[in-house]
Amino acid sequence: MSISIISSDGEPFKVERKVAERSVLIKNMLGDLGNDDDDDDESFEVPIPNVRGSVLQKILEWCEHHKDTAFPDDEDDDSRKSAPVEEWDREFLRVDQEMLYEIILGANYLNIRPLLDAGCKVVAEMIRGKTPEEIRRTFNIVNDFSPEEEAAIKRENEWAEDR
Amino acid sequence: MQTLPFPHEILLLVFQHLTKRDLLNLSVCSSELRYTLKPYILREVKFDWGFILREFNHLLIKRGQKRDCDGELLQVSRDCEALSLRQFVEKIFVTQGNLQNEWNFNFGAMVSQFANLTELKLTIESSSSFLKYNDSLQSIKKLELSTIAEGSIFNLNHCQHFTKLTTLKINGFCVDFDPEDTRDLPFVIKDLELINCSWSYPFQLSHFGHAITTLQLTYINHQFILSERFREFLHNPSLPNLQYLTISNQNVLTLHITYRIMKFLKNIPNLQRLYLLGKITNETIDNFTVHDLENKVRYVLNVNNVKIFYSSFVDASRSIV
Repeated sequence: MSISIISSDGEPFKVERKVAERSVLIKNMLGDLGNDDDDDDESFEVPIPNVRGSVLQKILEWCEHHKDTAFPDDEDDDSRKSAPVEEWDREFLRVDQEMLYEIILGANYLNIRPLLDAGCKVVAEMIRGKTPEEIRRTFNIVNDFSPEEEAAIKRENEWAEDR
Repeated sequence: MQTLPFPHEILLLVFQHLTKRDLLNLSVCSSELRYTLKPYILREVKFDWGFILREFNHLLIKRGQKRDCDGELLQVSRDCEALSLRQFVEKIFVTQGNLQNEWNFNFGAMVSQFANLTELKLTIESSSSFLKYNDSLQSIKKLELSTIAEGSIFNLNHCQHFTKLTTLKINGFCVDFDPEDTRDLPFVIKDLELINCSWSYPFQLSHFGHAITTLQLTYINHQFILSERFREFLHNPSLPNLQYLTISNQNVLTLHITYRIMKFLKNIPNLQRLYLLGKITNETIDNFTVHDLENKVRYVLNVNNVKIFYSSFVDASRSIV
């Protein structure tokens, strides 16, 4: 059975049910509707009002690739946290920052935990081990502190420093 | 566009992969990031005595210090900036022990300056008895004490001013006891962790209170776990509400838990999980495989609903992963 997923800008994506069910949101939705597998309803449509077409296309590409992947249990926080981002996912997430953010937000909305985790790890890696100046360059951040604020921060950080 | 246009639940997922240093560096990049990150970088603060004496100098009782007409020590009011920082602090960790400062510093007054502080972790040079002489520690729910001099005295009455205490973790102490001490203590401990702690007759762990639901006992290069006192505890835990029990033996010598001792499970009616970690041999379980463990335990010991995590199995299942 295949279903049609409609993006916020009205673009339909026809995918296999199994692919769509990588999203726990869609899976639960289909489950609630009691739509059985043998139901060959080609016209079944799921509107996703929070994700635009180009992002949804990317996310469904990920779902297609991982349709048979067995991911660790949602409950198992430790192994989820420590597992490195696999090479295919890393390559998949090599996109501009805005797209990366939208994929993460989309994965959060659609409840695709492994994609959300991978995205968050990639963002964390963009920050990890960098100096403030390097982080500003990476994310195109403008230093907008006044000299007074700089002084206040210096004092606050005395509190926050590890010792 | 915002730098990290995420709701908090996603930010937390990102932050769990970062160190405190990374968060600090990120927080000084822009005012927006500073605003977002401030609660996270100030949630837990670590103080050494140099810092404490600089920031809270007025709370150190000095010889010949002036008192006001009520006998209270005169205090210097601190700048507003520091006051606004303090609301973010939920946990203070004092990283050094210093006998002289411990006895002369007013921890209660320091704690009361933090509106949202609930956790205190202290490194102590020897005994924790100075805590008896502090007051107003009632905001603290979780207390961790770690002594530098192993075998220093801990007594439950040292915690008498921690009226809301529910979680206690002590490391390296010898638990001292007098029946008078446990009478009328104001707190109810639910979660107790002892690391390298010993005790002697007539003290029993049940003196920490019958409300304990989680108990962790860890011994690292410390032989008390092999002693008669410890065995006595295993025979008769007297902790009716215990749900989670962890016994960890990180010694060269093995702790043997005999069939007779395993019967102690019967004396803990509410136990749900038992973790036996490190060098522990359990003759009851040893002949079972990981697959039929639960059934056998139920059959042999006639206890229900207890999940047992036994080190060799735990290790085995880890190595498979």
